[in-house]
Amino acid sequence: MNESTALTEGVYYILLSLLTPMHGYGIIQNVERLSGGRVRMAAGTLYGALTALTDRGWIALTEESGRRKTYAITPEGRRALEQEVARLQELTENGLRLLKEARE
Amino acid sequence: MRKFKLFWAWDFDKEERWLNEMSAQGWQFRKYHFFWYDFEKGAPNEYRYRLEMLDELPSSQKSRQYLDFLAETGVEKVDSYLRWVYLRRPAALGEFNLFSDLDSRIRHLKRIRALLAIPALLMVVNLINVVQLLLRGLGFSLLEAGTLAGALALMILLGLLVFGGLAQIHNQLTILQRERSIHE
Repeated sequence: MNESTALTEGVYYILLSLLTPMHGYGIIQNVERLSGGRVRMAAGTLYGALTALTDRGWIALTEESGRRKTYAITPEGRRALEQEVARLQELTENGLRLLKEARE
Repeated sequence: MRKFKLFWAWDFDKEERWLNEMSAQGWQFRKYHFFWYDFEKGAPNEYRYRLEMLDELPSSQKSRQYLDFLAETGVEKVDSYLRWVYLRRPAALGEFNLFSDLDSRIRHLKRIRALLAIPALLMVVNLINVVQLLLRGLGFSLLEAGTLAGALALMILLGLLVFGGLAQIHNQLTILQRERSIHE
């Protein structure tokens, strides 16, 4: 499946976080840290995203340590993430360039 | 301490606000009995409260998985009523929101709207029946006519309530969906 549509910010940061296996609450804290406090995912939103991403095959449950479920990114997820970073790069480069030209 | 309060399903955000106002006064919500709320004395703003109507009953496997996940983030289920769950989280752990994106909020509102669809439909069907009876109704005794008129009045009142609720949800959805066309 070729995805050329944007991922949501939350999903992007979840995938990024799960390059290292992590549990739910850890993801929330990690995303907050990565975004400098800007992105604060709510538990309900996170749960929905984790379920959708698991159904998609982009993340998967690893061993359940006790009662806490740990997730990790899959190879498909990593591919999707790389495509997304490339897309964001295109957006950023165009943005910086055109804004710069508009200032001159 | 017990308090009586009426909140319609579509006013769940008002209900949330009220529970948090009570919490600010030190009253922590504990149990729900149809329109009656039980509170226990605690510290002011000890907990933050939120309401959610789930897709299924809280006892279902899907719901329990969701609630278990929430518990990992410090969220406790205080009580439940049908598909509604009352959730709370210690204020010390920080701000408590269930949804941080528009899509989830839109989905939640649509879930509540679907709930009202059946009563609304039944009401329209009943209204048509009653009106039909009344129109055919020459030869009704005074008692029969009175009863029918009373039923009609009641139905109109209930109809106004249900459709009023649906209208409110529709308005909230429109606002959210307009926002959604710009960002998440």
